[in-house]
Amino acid sequence: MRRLVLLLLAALGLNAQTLRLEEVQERRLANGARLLVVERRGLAAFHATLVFRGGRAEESPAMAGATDLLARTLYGSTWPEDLDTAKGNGSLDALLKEEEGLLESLRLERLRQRKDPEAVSQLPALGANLWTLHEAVRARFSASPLADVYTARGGRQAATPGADALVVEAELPATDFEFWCRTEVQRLATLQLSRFSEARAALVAELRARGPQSLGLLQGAALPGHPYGRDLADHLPALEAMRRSDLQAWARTTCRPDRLTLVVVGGLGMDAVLPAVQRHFGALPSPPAAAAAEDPLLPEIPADLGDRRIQAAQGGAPRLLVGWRIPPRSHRDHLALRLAARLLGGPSGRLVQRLVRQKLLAQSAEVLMDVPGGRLPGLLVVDLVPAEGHSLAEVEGALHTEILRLQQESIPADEWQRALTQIDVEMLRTEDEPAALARGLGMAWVEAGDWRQAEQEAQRLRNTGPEAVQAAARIWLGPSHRTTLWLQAGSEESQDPLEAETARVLKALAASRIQDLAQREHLVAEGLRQLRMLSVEERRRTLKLLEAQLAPEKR
Amino acid sequence: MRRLAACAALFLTVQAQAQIRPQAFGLPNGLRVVLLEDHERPLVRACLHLPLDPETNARPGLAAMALRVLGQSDAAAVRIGDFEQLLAGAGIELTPALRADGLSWSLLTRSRDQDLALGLLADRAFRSVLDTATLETERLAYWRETERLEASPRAKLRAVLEPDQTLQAPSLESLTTLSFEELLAFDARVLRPDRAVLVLHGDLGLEQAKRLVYLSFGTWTVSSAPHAPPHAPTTAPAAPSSLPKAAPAAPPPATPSVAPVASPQPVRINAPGALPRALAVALEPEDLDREARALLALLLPGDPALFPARIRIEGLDLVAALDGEAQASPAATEALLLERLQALRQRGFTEADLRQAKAAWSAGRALAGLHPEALVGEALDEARGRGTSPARMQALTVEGLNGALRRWLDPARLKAGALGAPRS
Repeated sequence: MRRLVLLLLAALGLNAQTLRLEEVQERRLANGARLLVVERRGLAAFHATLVFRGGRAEESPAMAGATDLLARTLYGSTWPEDLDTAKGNGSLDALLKEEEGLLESLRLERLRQRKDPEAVSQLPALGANLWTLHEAVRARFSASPLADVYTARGGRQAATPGADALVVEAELPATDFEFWCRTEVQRLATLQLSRFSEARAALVAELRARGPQSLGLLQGAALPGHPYGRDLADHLPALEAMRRSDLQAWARTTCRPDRLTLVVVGGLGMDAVLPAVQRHFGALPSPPAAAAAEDPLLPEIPADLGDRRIQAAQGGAPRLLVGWRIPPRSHRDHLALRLAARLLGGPSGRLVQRLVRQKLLAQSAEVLMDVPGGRLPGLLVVDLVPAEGHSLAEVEGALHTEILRLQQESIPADEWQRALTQIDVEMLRTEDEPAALARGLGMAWVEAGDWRQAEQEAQRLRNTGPEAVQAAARIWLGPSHRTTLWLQAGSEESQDPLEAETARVLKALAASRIQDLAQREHLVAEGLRQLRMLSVEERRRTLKLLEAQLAPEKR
Repeated sequence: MRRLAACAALFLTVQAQAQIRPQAFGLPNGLRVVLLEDHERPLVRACLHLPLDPETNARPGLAAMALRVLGQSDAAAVRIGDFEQLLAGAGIELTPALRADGLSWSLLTRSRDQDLALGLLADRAFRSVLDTATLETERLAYWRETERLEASPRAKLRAVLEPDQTLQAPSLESLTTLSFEELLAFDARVLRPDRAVLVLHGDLGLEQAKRLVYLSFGTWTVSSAPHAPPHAPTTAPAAPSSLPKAAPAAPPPATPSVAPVASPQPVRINAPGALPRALAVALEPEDLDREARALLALLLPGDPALFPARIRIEGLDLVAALDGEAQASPAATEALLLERLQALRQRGFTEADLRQAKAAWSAGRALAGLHPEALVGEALDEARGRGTSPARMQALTVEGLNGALRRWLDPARLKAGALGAPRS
């Protein structure tokens, strides 16, 4: 009797333990796609995440923005017309090809008009043709408000473009699993991208409205020449010139089965999932052997960049952003740095407790890891807003003191335990929420090369001591890996209008010639300093000369 | 012995497969509690919800400021720094939220720390010690946040059009005139157990939950006097010198929280170089049928009649947006958006749309199990009488659905505006 009670208690206790490797079942399809299944009995629905390794980091400059566009066009909605080209009269694909030609003619005509404004414009005629064509395309689509096939079945889908991957998440009742498999494979096989022109226009408008981003500025300066340091807003002409067929070709190489991991969490076991996945995803063509073997060539980030500084102006409160180049997730020091970030950040972290609460130097303090991604060397970023009456220099000094303390003073046991507990709760939560679990497994595969990394990190955490964190902080959080951004409160509007305009033109000229943001900032600042020595009239003439070098659309 | 073994096996099977059934109980002080027992993982979630009163709704910025001050105040005998260390030491997440229909705290903790976590939630809810210094610090921080909106024309347009006064960004005047006494009065009016609902979800049983809730919340009383330190001044403090000077204080407006009238002046946000964008926002009518709301949330975002405008539901707001062409003016873009919305309002939905939406809603109920926080939200809605019922859903007619659509998209309820480059 007592044994039975113990057995019962043990069974209940097992339920309450953290994720175990055996809960995740893995299969590899013949075409290279990976399948991970975590069964949650009692659920009448499933969560599925498709993780395509690649993302923004693998975009060439000519294809900058492709991951974002793919998330919007391929996965923005799921309409039957996009899945079955044979539906309706005539071919939707033919209409979309015609649209591509018209859009390209319009773009070229606009460029021609800028060069020769006196020439007879074809724009109105081309615009009218495009309008008629759009009406024809729209007429092919359902007029029902519930045209999205997933919404109509009570489900939902969302796609997130990232630096390392395109992540697509869907949720549906368990009875629709086969339907989901079929739909996703049809989507990949068809690559219709029928809303390409609208999605591209919306993305361009968003990037224009957004203006310079503080984190983007820091990334650009800290990771020069690397796709991780790229700001999409600097690549608008390439984005505007991208055609539907370019994106289709890019999708065929990016969304290959060997770059795909499919994670299913919910009320379905491997027995129910595998046959449907093999039937549908298994039918996706295998990539050519050479293509599957080749790794994308990504530029190295120079190790000897040294301590870098940039300054910029933006509305709102001044801010200090400091980023340290840190190793990727697969590196042995990465976990120690994650703990360092935990000790520094959060409401109970050292930065909030010391800089915000005790010294009243800062209004807020935030720490971010793996900016913008963790597959390649990225950044550990500290974002500080100075309190009223305190300067950026004061806050920066205080931050460096805290970093030195982390590197040199021993970490108190209670603080260490607190950081471990927080990570433990974070892992429990991830395991409890199917979407978070699926994403966590998928991103571990993308960033570290193996989904087991998510579980192995939990084991390694228990064996990591405070000394390892201090050692990693000494190596990676030093000046040679550091980039500092001072965001001043004053907007450029408060400048002398002539100087503000000169700065704008110099920045635009520099943007077209120099990719390294820190060098660009330095060049602009130096140029403005020298121009201030000239008379107003000379400065006006210089401005005109500089403007003449700009492309007409940027004047 | 064999019978006991069979019982144990049945228990384990039921535990793994059974749907989570809500169990409700109450405290003598009026606090209503709903428990969703689920022992799958050693986690406990909680949500404490408190509805706002008309007086709070009539004072822009008061609820948001109160929540900020509460979040930075000492609680019971625990200093704020220690309070945060206690939370962090056990990895407890305590998150405040404000919506037009009330304020809430959400809690996540390991089940082994549930006693501490619920105690801290109770401390925050009814043992927070308000003081003027925290009010002044938060007043300045709140104003700085409001100023930061200037940097983003899109965020500013959205904030300007917020129809609910509770959630509107405060004006400098309303912020500087907000007094300590108002905060104390808010504390007494809103933070009371007889209006609160607590939902618990996770690894705790009914008896354990009753014991815990009684220990943590049993001493919470309706007539709780405002918690102010003995030295707290009773007069409204002057605005801190770091805040810009506002015009002389005006009495708080006596209008209800929702003032759905078309703005006499068009709302325009100057954004040089940006393409025109129009936005229209409408707060959910108070008497809107829950079932009709659920179906409209499914039908509206995908309706092709709105093209190229888009519509989404944010909290209690319906938000429609339209990005105009480069050559269009902000005014023309706004007019086009309103025209599209009114065309949709006139057209309404068909019986086929209703049938499809009902089927989608029914199928979509299975998805709640994938989101523990959604389960907590559903239980909370149910306890507040705002849940959707399958029987009422079945009875909903197309006239009822279209009536709800017409009320929500009533031109008098819509607040619209646009951003873009000014036209010379």
